[in-house]
Amino acid sequence: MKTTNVLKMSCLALGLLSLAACSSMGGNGANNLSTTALGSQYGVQPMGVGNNILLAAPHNQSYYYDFNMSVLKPQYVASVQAQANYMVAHPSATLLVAGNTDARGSHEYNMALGERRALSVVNLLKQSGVKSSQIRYISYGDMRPIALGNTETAYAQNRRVDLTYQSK
Amino acid sequence: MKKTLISFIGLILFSFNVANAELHLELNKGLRASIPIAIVPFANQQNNLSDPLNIASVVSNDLQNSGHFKVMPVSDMQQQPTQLSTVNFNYWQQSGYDYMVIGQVTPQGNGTDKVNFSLLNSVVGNNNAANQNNAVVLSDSFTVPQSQLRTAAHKISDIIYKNLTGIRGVFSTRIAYVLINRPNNKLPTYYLEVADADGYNPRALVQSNAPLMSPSWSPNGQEIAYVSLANQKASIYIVNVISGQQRLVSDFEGINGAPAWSPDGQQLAIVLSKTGQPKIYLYNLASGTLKQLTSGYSIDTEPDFSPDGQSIVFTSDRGGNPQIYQLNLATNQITRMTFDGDYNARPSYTYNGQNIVVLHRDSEGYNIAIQNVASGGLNVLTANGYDSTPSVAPNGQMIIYANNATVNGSLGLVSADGQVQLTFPVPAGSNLQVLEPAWSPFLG
Amino acid sequence: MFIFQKKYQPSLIIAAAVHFVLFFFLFTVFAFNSSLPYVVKSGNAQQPIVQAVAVNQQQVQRAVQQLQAQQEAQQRSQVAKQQAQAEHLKQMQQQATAAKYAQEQALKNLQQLKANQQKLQAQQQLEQQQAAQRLAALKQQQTQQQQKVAQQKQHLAQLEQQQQTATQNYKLQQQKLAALQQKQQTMATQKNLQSQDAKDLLKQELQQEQSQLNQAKTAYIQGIVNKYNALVIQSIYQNWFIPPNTNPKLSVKLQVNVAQGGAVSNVTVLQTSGDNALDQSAVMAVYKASPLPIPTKNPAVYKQFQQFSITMTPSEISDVG
Repeated sequence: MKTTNVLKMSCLALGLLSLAACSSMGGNGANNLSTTALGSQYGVQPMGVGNNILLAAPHNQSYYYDFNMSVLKPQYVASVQAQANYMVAHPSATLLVAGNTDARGSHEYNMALGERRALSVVNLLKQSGVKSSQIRYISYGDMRPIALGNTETAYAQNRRVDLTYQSK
Repeated sequence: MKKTLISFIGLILFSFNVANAELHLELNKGLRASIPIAIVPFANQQNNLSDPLNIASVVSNDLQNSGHFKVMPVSDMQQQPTQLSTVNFNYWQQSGYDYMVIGQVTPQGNGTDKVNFSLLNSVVGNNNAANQNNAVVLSDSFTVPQSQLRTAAHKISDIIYKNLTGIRGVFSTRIAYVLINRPNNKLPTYYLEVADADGYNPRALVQSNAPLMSPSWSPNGQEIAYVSLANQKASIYIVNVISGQQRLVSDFEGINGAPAWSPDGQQLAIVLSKTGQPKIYLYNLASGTLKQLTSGYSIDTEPDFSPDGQSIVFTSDRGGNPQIYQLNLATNQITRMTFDGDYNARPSYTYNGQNIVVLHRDSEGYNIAIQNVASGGLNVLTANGYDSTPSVAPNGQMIIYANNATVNGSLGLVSADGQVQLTFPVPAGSNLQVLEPAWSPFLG
Repeated sequence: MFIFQKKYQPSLIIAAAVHFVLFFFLFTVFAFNSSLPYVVKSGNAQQPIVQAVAVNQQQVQRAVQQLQAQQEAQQRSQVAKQQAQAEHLKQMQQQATAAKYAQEQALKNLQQLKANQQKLQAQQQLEQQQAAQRLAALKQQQTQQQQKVAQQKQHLAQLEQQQQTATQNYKLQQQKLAALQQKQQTMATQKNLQSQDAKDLLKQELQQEQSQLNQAKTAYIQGIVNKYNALVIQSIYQNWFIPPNTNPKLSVKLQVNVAQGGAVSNVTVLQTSGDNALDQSAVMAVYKASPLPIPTKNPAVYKQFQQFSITMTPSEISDVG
């Protein structure tokens, strides 16, 4: 009874407001907007790759990269897009995009690799209409690891771009 | 006139040779071995060997760690003479120590000490019992504040090392490195530290809650250029080692990194990515002008000047993976230098310019390697697998590097021939991590 | 009754469609909710189609107002629908961009991977080539080393043979000389019978033998000296610790004085190498080799070693312990 009512109501709302938008909204709600993840040393918390968090906007994000790669993985594009939509709708919002690498290799070369990773996100944000003035980016290279130690798991967690809202 | 004189001399020499018809031998081979030396505890210091100001202990440690000496343990010494007249050379030669050092520390009353020392050749002394003065290779003395006795000891090590190896010692130089303190559940603190060449007297020059990177000594040893990632951006600063005063050099958008001084101290080679790609620029410290040296869609980073200032070596992925390239500053011609393996980075010239030291990756992981510039032959020196940031001593004998095999990291020392491997002492602690060592030039 | 104005025509068509859709959704809603009656029962509920010809003014006005309200609602829904369509279009475009980007990135990823793989292959080939070259060079070095060793052995064998020959010669000459001297003595006792010519001949013969004997003696001593040369050089070599980074082309010439019994009494630098540390190491090596392994019995041989010079060049350096 309850479910049918919800369905009824949503169908009514959809029918009255929009005929077309139905297909793209999928099943995720805005329930995950609640809190900004904090707590880790740098104000960045490693997150899983759950779709709920990925597509939430505005929501701090971490995107992960393969070894020595600086190309944004296709599964993150929709997430960046969602942040871009928010940023376009909220011109006063600002973002920090920080690129990171694992501990292996040379620090300054890793700085360059980290910047390429940051730019892979920055460029997509800009392509989606976000103004340059809303985005700042930095490479921390291998100097701000989330996980310490020489394990594949630690490496994988450190090869990432952190997207952090500075203001919303 | 001149001609006749020459022929006259020639005649004399010739006849001398004929008259003597002396036996002449040829020896074309020798041994590579450590020089055996005994550093006898100095007068007035024989009861406090573990005191950090004990000269004999400091000199022993210096020489032993250079890899070129075999230093006699004090516990093996059955005699501890402090004056030439009481040295029994036969004992020292029989013990196998060709050289020995004796000396005295004499308080001067005004907070200063007079330090005398002599380097003796026990073999010559043993063969010239009649005149022991023949055994004295050199003697010297200086007066220093008591707190500076370590400085005096390093000076003695430098003098002995130079005399017996022919190479200038680096015992009075310093090492800069980055120390990270990661207390649990708190923001990490980053320190740019400077310590003596034996790890003593570490002191923080810069402290920050954001990463500090890439320390680089000015050629006169008075300043250090470094990278700060404070305020969520990269900037290059120069800090005065004595006064601690800082000045900002560069904070463009993107990377501001990898500073390297020109040999004349007038310019900094730096890396900027303000055009979208990390490129190497020349920054004139006096005028503040900037000149772009490399271009194209590739990572160009980690420049280092050749000792003659004529060229710069750097890391670039223009060939697909990081390799070392050389840029001729006069012709702007760029040539690839490394071909061994698919990862060579962070190049630095040895001080004679004949070799470059690099971070090299192969199946054994990331290790320190040295490559001869002329022949191109590459020699891998370490086998830890997690090394980075090699920095060469100003006499080219040793390389200091960061070993990241453990969470805390450590600084390793390896001789340029790979024969000697040592660990450089740094402040220890479960929350501390050490990285990015940089060896100073000769000081003073 | 209904005036169809031309400008309303499309609106009305759309309105009709909207009504249809609305009806569809409403129908759907009712279909979900079975407790609501949706089928009008026949019979008494049925209303007459036309109740009266004459309608009052109020009714007309109500109808017009209803119509107007309906039209306004239609227009509002029309605008909403257009906005929705525009929104949809925008989102479709964004999706297309995203999809394109994702495709590009995937392609880039693939290209990067491919390029990496190609590089890896090329690298492996190069490394294999280099390894082969190194192996070949190593083999050549080995061969050269072996040749050298063989040459040295040969040289040593030659020397030994020379010495042996010299020793044999010396002995032979000594025997000959003894025989000759005996012959001379025998002849001298036969004073009367000898002619002057025969005497001269004998003397000549004797002289010849004597000179041959001297030559053999010199060669013999030289042989011994050669042997001790090698021993002295060996003992100095074992004590020569060459300073690090020494230029292997430098050489230092020393004069060595040796006391009876082989003890080194004095070492002086005749010609410096220019490298003080190298000079010192050479002097040290000679001192440390004391006493030198020289013959003490044969004064002629010792005389050779009493004062000698040695040139030391660190062209070959071996590692110890």
